[in-house]
Amino acid sequence: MTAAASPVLRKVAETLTRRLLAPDVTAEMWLGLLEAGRVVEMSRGHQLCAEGEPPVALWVLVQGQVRVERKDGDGKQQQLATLSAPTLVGHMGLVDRTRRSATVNAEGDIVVVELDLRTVDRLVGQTGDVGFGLRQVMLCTLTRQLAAANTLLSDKLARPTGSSAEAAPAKRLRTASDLLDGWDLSAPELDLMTVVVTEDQRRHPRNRRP
Amino acid sequence: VSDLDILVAMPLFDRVPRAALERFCQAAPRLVLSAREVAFRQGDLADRALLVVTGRLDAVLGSETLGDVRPGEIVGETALFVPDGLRQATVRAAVASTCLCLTAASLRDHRDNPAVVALQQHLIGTLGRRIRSTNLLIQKQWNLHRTPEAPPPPPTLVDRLRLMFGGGR
Repeated sequence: MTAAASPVLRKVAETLTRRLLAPDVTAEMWLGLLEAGRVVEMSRGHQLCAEGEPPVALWVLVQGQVRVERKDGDGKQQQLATLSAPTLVGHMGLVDRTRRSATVNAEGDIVVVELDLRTVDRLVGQTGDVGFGLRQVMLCTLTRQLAAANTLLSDKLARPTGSSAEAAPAKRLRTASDLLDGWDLSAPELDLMTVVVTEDQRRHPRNRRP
Repeated sequence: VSDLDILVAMPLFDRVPRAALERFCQAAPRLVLSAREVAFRQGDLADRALLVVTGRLDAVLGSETLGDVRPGEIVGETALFVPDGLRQATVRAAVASTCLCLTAASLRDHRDNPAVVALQQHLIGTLGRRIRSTNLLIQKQWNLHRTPEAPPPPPTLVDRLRLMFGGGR
């Protein structure tokens, strides 16, 4: 870690390392990421991003929970998921540059590390520890997301909710990435979350349970 | 034609200097597979990913082929990001093939190599696209099987009176 790093940043970096959000990312790498972004404390109800906005940043949720919502066909705000720290929020928009598919609000008091678009672009293409750390965090998050989506799809194929549909074999869409890691797929909101979000072929927010 | 010459021509590495790719080739063990030879089996410990250099691999589950993996593509990448996972499918060579073996440790140890940066960036894009397409399939399934919403119940006498006189609930 750098000598000038504040004790708060050091503590956050060590916490993120212990929580194994990404196994190969060391405390030094986390500290570099924290220093490249800005640590922000937000109070309950603060909006990180709004549905339809262009992506301008991603956030590492360090402490607390955020609520993911989007409008349904009737214009009513529907809760899709609650995400708990530590996790990455808002990264899909930066991966493929699509507009925000959901609104994210602080559920209570939260602490995030905000990395703006320019910083993310710079770090993702950069050699060295910090760039490697960011890429690894994104890759680990995406791998878990894909595993959850694959499992949900397999489940839907095996047990369609309609009455007359014939169940396709669950194995058909399983892939080598099809692993679960700390996801609660029995949560009813995950179903809603995926269905609503994918209606516009957009992002698939996560539903990670502590 | 050497592996290095093939890698240099891959779009994935188009911004990577040849010298960096050469170092990358030296760090990644080469795996040569004959036709139908198994690279890894379902249920095996997932400890490496394969970058296909020549040939073609098939991912299979039982008797069913899930898809193929061609030069420039990576298979088994979960092993790089999820420790101690198990293979969810068997991967075998459809034809004689050459691959480079990638491990989490090799990526970490060579993180300053631009070839590793390019590889990770490529994987971020690939995973993002797979998530989108999987979500699309889920959407199709949902649309196929969803039941129409029940119409709202007709207003009761109390509801109508509230409407007339503006009473709240």
